Amino acid sequence: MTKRLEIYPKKVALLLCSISLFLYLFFLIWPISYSVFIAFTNANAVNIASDPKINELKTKLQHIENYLIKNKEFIISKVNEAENYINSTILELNLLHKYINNVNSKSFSIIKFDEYKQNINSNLTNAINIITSNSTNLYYYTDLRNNLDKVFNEIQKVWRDIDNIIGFKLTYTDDDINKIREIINNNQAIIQSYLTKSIENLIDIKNSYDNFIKTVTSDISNQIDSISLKFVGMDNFYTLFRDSRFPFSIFKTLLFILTSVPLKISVGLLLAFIFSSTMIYGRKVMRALLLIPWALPVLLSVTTWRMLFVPGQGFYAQIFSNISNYDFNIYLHEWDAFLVYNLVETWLAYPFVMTVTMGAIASVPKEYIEAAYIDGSNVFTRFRKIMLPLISRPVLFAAILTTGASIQAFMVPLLINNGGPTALLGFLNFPTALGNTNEVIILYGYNRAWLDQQYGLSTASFLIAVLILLVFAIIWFYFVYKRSFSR
Amino acid sequence: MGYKIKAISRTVLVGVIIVIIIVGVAAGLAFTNFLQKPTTTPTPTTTPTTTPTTSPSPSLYSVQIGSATIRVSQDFYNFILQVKNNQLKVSINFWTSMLPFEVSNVQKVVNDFMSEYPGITVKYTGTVQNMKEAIKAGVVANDVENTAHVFTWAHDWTGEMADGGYIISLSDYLPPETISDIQTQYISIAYTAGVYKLKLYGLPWAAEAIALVINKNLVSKPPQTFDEMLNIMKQFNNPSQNKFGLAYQMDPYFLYPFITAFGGYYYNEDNDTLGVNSTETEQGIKFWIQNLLPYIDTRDLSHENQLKVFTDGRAPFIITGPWDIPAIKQVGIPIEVVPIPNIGDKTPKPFSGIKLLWITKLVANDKNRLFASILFSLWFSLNDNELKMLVDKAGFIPVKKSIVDHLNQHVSDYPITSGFANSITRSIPMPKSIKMSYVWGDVSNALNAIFTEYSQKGPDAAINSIRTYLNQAQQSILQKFSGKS
Repeated sequence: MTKRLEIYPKKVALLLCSISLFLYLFFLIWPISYSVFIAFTNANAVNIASDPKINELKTKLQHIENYLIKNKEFIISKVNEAENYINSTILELNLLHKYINNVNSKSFSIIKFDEYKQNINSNLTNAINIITSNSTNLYYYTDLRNNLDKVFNEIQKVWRDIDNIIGFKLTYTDDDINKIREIINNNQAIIQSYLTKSIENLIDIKNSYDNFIKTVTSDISNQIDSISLKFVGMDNFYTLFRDSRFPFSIFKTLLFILTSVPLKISVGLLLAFIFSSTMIYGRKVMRALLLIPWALPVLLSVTTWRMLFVPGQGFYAQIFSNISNYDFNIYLHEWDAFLVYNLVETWLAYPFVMTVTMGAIASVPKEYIEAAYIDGSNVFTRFRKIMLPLISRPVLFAAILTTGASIQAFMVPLLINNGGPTALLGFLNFPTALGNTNEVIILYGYNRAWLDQQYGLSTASFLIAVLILLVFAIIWFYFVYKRSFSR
Repeated sequence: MGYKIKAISRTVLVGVIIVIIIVGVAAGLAFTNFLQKPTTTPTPTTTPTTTPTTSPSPSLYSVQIGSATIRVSQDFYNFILQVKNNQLKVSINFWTSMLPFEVSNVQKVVNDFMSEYPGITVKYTGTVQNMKEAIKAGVVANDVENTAHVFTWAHDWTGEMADGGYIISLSDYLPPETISDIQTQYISIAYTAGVYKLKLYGLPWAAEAIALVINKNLVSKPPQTFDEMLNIMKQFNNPSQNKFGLAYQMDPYFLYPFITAFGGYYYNEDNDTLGVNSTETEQGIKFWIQNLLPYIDTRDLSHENQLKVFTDGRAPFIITGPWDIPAIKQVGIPIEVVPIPNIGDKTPKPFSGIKLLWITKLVANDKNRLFASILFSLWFSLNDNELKMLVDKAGFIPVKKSIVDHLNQHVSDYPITSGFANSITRSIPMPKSIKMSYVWGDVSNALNAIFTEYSQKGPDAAINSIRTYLNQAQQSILQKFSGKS
């Protein structure tokens, strides 16, 4: 026993144990549980990694109340200042309004106009500077900020439109002046209304300072709330099944398995048998060449396939169209695209099936076949009664793995036409919805994440894909593996 | 004996597993707590203990940055002097996600900057993949050394980047006088693009919008009205010989000019309204089906195919942006660029994107790097020579007033750039709000479905289907909006 302990000291065992468990925990358990967790949240582009802003706002929230109470006088004085600037802006705006309504093309002076513009801009900028200043914290008063923001945007739009008319002209026609007048008259009221609202906000601050503090703190809390990741329970799963898109996507995936797996297996098997025959000259070279699809990067090969099927221009698309006198179009016809997926998937997967099968064929003892031959059985009997039973296990194994690949089909539909074409989908009793007709499950999840930026929903759909894989694995284990392998 | 050891080691193993799981969970909890609670408690940036007087304007210095003279604070002024005289060493990271020919030109700008301010080293990475995600990850992980300090992209990222706290606002670090001086340097549409919720976040240096590009071999005089354009398209269109009236890819961004011409829109962030299923939008799409689609190669509406139709000389027009110009120039087609012509008295207004220079949150606590980043952004967007070089060599459309003036005085020298510049002046900037990202996918779906209808059942069926599909899209987007807030 002592000798054994020397070979396997407990300390080393413990060390190895803890290292492996550590890795297990942080590289397996943690990422998996985190992604499962995301499926139950409302994760999206806004809240998925908003820590920098949340920290900033939380710090602000901690200090703001004291700060506002302590510096009441200063802030009120700033509020008065801002109010003055906004009042001046209104005044200048009215002056400009009056000016533009009383000039014609001859008396219009661009210098005078620029002066009004400059005055309005500088008054507004001064007011905005007070609001955005760190020393006043008025920026966190959402109503005020929004109103002033609207003023700023509207005024900028006015200047832009007028710039487009004035351009780089030196003289102006009556038409130009009329257009400028129209722009100012149309926008003056709305700008003024937002300016007045801003002033009301400022007066509110002065009248009830306590209320202002409350509003600011609650506005900041609301903002934190709006960018925080929230647990939403099963909501994402309800959303998935609220319309036809996801159920249809599952249906399409299952259909794809039903069509692509037999294709892959039969093509692989056929090629394996052909190239196992000693009667073919140069079969080793040919066999090596046949493995090329396996070696090429999927991105490259699938893109090439798409080129070949570009409607009207691709080589195969033209051949297909000519043979059948039918407009073969992967971008428009649901089943054309589906056919191409099957072709490409088969092309990508046959080397795998072929290699596995060839290995199995090579391991079948020649004596069996010779014996059968002597006993007088023909080619098909030899294939059915001897070859097939002997290679069935490896082929079954390849079939199972390649079925897994079909469930997870993603690159092929993505690169061929992103799961298109788009149509109104109605599946069983689910409500109809606009969606891509060939969006298989994984592609559905990918598009929800990358197009719609709904990470929670996307993860939920992946989780369902995992469940389907799990069901598949269980079926495989109990009905296939146990029956054929445990004997 | 062997049994016993096995039994013991199994017990030990189970024990260790339990302990490690407990430790792991505890560590996880502690970690999340740590994330929520900032370890340092920064004081509010400026705490006026002694109440400041009415306008606390510190002494300002005028300084020449690029081709503009602006007023800056004393701190910043001293910093500029120090890096100019190489008394202070700072390095910053600058990221872009651009095409190779653009990168080589931007590299020249970076080199010129470093020779003017030898104290600052700009580490430039030109072709960053997944730039937005890379920057977000870098900021969250606080990876100061390996993440961008300054980066550039079109202004539609502003909402997402600012609301998430990944970028800093210049208004927080520069005195108001500097901001107003900067404002006067750019055309109004460009400056406004950098402002979000009243604060200035990014400095504009270029813009892009789609326009009508004309093959001068086929069309000598650019069409003034849409009717003229339509006649030319009809004249050239001959699908049986693989010739078309127009090359025009289909997606929500490209279709926008014809939607705005009729008063339609997708999302208006000023009023927070969604206009996907408005009658005006419907009219715009109807116009596209009736007056444009018949003259387009509809077998493949993708960007690559449409560009190929034009570069093969199989269409007299393409509606596209400045990014395709190098490819077109490469095949040697002489071109002219004009804004998309008016339809009667209706002006097609494309979306425009303003390229902004942003500064990431990572430099907020490092004053030298912060100043270096600000100086670099200012210099980049204010230097006439460099901007002119970018116009000439890389075809970037300028937004600085002085360069736009220069362009307008020499229109004949810049037939391409001035065409795009004119298209930008009548454009509508893309919304800055993150909500816009929920709009693209569904509108694109609706367009695809309408187009499928068009190619399978003909134009009338497509026109009849517009309303259904737009309603579907509107409903789906509203669902996403409501899920968000």
